[in-house]
Amino acid sequence: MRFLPHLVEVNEKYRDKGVEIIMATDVDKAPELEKFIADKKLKLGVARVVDVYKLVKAQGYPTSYGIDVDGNCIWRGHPQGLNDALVDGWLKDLRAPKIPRKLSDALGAAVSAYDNGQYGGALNALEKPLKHKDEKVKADAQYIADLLNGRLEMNKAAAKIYRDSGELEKLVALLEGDAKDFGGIDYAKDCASEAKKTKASKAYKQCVEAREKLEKLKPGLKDMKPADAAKALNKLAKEFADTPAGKQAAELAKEYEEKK
Amino acid sequence: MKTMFLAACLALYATTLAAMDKGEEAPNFKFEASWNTLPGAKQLTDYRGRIVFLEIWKIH
Repeated sequence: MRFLPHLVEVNEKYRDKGVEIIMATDVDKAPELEKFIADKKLKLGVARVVDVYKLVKAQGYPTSYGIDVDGNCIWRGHPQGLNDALVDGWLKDLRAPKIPRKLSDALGAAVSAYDNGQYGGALNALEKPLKHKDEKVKADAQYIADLLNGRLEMNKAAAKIYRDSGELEKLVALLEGDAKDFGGIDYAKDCASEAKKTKASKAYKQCVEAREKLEKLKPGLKDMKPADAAKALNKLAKEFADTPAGKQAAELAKEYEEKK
Repeated sequence: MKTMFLAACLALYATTLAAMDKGEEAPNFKFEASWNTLPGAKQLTDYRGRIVFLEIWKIH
């Protein structure tokens, strides 16, 4: 897969900006995939999906698609065709997804809030429609509530993963995003409170310091002797052992040690 | 003979299927297994609100 380094580069540059890569396959067995991911130390999103080739009507391997915030195809081509200009163009349309069906006019305020990414406001605006005597209005209100609660539960699950794995910068970014998007409901207050507490913690500050040091160190690594690069990375890994950047430094150090 | 005819028809049908193109809604699909995907995501629709680069691939 000669295009793999190219995708890894795009993933590193754009993942935190709202672009996600999913490498989907319906051919490979789970153990083979696991081995491949481990051998390549792959950080890209990989999914095993039954019949995905037929579902997306692919025409050969590899086939790639760009998909917008509403789930619509905006590009099709070979992965080598993916470049910064293309992704930057897609990012101009990064916004809250639209509700994918026509809903009762009685839900105007909730739909408007949803479309503007004000999910807390939308949930508040749904309180009365959820108790409406008209069953159609009630069902439509429940439909939006389910969309929003699904998003909220997914973000809670993501926060738990970040919390448990010590990825505190990602945790804070997620919490601050939800504190804004779900403003007006208790969940947003909880998010703001946890984000503030996390940012004030020693562990968070260490994560930031380690990331900054690794970012500073990385560009010069290629010009260093492998042994010196490994030494510098191991020093960072030891000093910040519990941080994501410290762990990344340890992995990189192993690679340089193999080159010695 | 009948089986061969059906197989030929299916093969012809498969080659004439239009690939998913611009403007078309991507079909939703669930992850049977996943690695390094968006935390909490179990299917494609969980990525609504994000730009997705979807790659259909195989190891060999």
